[in-house]
Amino acid sequence: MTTTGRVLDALLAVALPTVALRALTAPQPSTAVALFIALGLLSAVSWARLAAPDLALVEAALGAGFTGALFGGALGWRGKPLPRVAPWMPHPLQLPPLVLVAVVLGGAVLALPESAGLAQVVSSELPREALTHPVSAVLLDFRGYDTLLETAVLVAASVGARRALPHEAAARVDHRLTSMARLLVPASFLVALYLLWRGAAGPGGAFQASAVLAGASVLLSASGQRSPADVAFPRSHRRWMVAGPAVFTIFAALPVLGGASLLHYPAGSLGWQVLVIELGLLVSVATLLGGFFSLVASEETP
Amino acid sequence: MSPWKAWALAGVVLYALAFRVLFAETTWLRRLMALSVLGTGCFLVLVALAYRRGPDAEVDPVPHALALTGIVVSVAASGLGLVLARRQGAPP
Repeated sequence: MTTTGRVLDALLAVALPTVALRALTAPQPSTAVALFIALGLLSAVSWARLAAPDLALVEAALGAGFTGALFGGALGWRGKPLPRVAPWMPHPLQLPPLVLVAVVLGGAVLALPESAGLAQVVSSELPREALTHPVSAVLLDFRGYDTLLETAVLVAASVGARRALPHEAAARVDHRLTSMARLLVPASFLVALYLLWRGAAGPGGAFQASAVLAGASVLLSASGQRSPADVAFPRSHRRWMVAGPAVFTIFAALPVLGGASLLHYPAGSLGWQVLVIELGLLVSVATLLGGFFSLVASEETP
Repeated sequence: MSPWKAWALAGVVLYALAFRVLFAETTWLRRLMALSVLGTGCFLVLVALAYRRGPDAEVDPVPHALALTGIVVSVAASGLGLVLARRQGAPP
């Protein structure tokens, strides 16, 4: 590794906890949210340094961008504004548990033996004609069960959110964002479709693409391009929200009817099955996440 | 210290900081943010473990997939947490 690389890694490894501490202990809520977004972007660069480009894409779009938008939307809720909180003054009794957790976990992690992990196993199983990128293959093929249940978690969270706030409507409008929305939303669709297609052979895939579309959805909500009558998770959108998980479940269950195990894609059909599943995931995950923003976005500018 | 150890320790420190804030703070905003940072710390440890062989060797893709799933679930959890906070009447 080059010296520049080492220096960059060292700076990032020090900067991450520092920014996290400042973000979690900032007295002003707006400062906290801004530092949180900065932490997300630093994390995205860290994933890139750790040879995890897929993660960097998702972290930048979802972890930094979308979660930051969620918290930012909460800054201006009607009612009493978020009060300033005192800067963090830890009670002396709180420090020993913190240090204990850090020491025990740190010791456990450092004591792990050097191991190659599952890289060899994955690359030896990999020669399937459609999915050549290891992470995509693991996500959709080898560990497809995790991804299937993850979509179920998203649906469950959306249902819970909708039931918790049945009457909220998306109301925030900022006309300065209109021209930006007009430029960026169509571009987002193109970028999302490209990422989806690219995911078979390189970094990318359904989740990165849906993260970009979720960002476009936030931009649409915030600039008022959706009609004010739109409520979060409207009935008309529900079929899109469940389409992805439903398609995935169907493709996962079909092999069972033929006597094989769950998610056992028949040889040769992996390519088109994965494409259909990924398209379904793209639509559903983007719609589900966009619904969260509609529920959380405030009615007033802060 | 090999690079992956430095990254893993950074993840552990993130985890410990967020752990303290999660249990000791009473404001919902800080607690929800701490939950998210907690997740980021865990993923940092996971990805550092995948990186053990160094930048030139093959990286282990399974922790990457786990962390990817985790990020999406973490976002959903933040969303649901914010909705519940809003339902309770907003001020922390």
